[in-house]
Amino acid sequence: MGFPGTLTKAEIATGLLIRSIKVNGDYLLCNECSFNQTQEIDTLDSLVQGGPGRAIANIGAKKFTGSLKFPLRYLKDGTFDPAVIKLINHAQNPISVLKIDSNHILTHYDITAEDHSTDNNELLSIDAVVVKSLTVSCENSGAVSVSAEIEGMIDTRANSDYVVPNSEQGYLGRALTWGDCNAFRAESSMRTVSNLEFSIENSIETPVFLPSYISGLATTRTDQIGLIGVKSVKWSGKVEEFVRKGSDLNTYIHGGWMVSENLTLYFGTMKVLFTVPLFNITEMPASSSVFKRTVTWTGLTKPNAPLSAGQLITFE
Amino acid sequence: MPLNNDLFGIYKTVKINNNPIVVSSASRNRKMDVQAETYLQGTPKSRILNIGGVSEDISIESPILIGGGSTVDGRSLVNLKLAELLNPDTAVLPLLTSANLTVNESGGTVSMSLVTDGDPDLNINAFQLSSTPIAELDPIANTPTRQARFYDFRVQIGARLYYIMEASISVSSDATPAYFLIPNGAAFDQTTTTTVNGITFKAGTQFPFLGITGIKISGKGKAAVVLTDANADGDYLDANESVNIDLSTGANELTLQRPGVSVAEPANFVLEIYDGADWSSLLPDVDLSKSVVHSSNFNVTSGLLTVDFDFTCWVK
Repeated sequence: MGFPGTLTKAEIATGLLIRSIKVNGDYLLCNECSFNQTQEIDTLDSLVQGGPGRAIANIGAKKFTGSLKFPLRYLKDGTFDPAVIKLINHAQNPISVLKIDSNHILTHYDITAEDHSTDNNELLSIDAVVVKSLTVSCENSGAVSVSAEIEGMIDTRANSDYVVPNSEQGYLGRALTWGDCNAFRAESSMRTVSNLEFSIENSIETPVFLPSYISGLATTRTDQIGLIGVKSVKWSGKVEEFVRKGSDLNTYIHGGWMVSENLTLYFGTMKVLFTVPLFNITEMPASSSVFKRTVTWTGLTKPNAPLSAGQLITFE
Repeated sequence: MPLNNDLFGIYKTVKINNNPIVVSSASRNRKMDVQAETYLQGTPKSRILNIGGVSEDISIESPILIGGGSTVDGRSLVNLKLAELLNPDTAVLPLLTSANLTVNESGGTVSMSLVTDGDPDLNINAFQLSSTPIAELDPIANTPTRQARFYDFRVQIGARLYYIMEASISVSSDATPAYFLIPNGAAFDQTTTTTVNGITFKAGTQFPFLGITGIKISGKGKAAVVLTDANADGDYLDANESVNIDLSTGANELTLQRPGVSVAEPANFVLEIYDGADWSSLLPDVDLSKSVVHSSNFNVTSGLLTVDFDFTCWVK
């Protein structure tokens, strides 16, 4: 398919021309999208070969890696961006892959070592993407921001969908801000929180395998990774609180778990619930400015919790 | 002389029987059997040395290459020497005593050991170093060279086809040295040869005759194990629920024998490399069609489930 912008004409591409990306078919307005194919491409340097020149290439497996940053937005009708919901739900329940389409991420599906370096570039759907990490954060008086690291591959060679908003809803909306957020837990209403965030970290492995010999069948060769596996899932969070005189002795967290503490973060109508937080010891440095303390925690869950939807985050 | 590159091996080219070969390391080891003997001799000091024969072996580590360098890589030399080994009438020193070809994600490597009689006669050319660069590595005069990687190989390890992470084949032989008394009338110095019944040799030296007494072919592999509870009954014992292992009652990954019957694996072992147009065996002179699997080790960790196994072939 043809490419928009500078790829075919001498126009200067901007984010407005390129627009943004689609996640599973839904438009996502990004602040940053730094996502492309990566591959180990180097030369061998330690061979007895008759001279010191680099004569032998070493080209390994390729995959997609990168990051996204986007605002957490309400659309005109008061709902969240569908793409944001899909990304967040996928991050907490990584049992399937996402598809990302763009107007600008050029891809090479064939074996790198066997193509002239500019041959067979395509604009393909990146149809097997997993969220490696996702953080939703908001600072005092700031906007709610989502950053995600993603990793993936192309499973099926298919042209990318041209990325335009599904409707005007894709443009109109507002970013959530500090005033949309809330945090509390059973023991404390946490009225002095000045910064809050939660993170999902999915430990991902991308092994490769040797192609199979099957008698009578052609062998499919690819230099992409073999598959994507999610090895572990970690849900964690952090809040920063102002320290008020006389009010903090009994809410200072010295570490350890709190059963049924129901530590809850609200980002608009997105609810993040840590039923059994495992707290680290509070950090509270002295400062000439206002005293603040930082509390971090990891959510304790049953092992199969990430295999079901909505075990950490729900949209109310 | 502050700049002296003569010290570095990368400027040298290894040749075996005048065949240049790209190596990551090579060693030529000569030794002579010497023992200090003690007798009832009136002193505890070593006054008598027992000096025996000379032996020489060569060890080589070499990559498997694609492109121009594919004719000067480890597999080329292994196949040359293996063909000699399987047909001793054509064998010239040095003799192949072991060769191990391993392919995995990071590429293909060959390690081999050869033996020769230790005769420094330049006509044998068992092991030479040259200052001539390896011409096959010139990327303009020849196809550019790269290290073979996982996508250049295809494998079948008995019944195992999918998710194979590593495969290796080993060929080994026993080379037995023999020493004979000097024939009457033979010249006996270090350089003059004697011919008896059409066989030319040097008499009266410490260099042995070498005889090939046993050739063995074996291999091993490593594959990921896939377990899918397809019918959601909580186990992996049903049809199509396991790949590369069978956990059901009575199943065994070993090639078990029956009384009075010699049982071989029901499938070939295949290890092939793509040459740009077609597939060819990494060891074309070796028949891997009849073998037994004699070890199978199932490894359960929090990471990839894997099984590694060993097989031994009947040698045709």
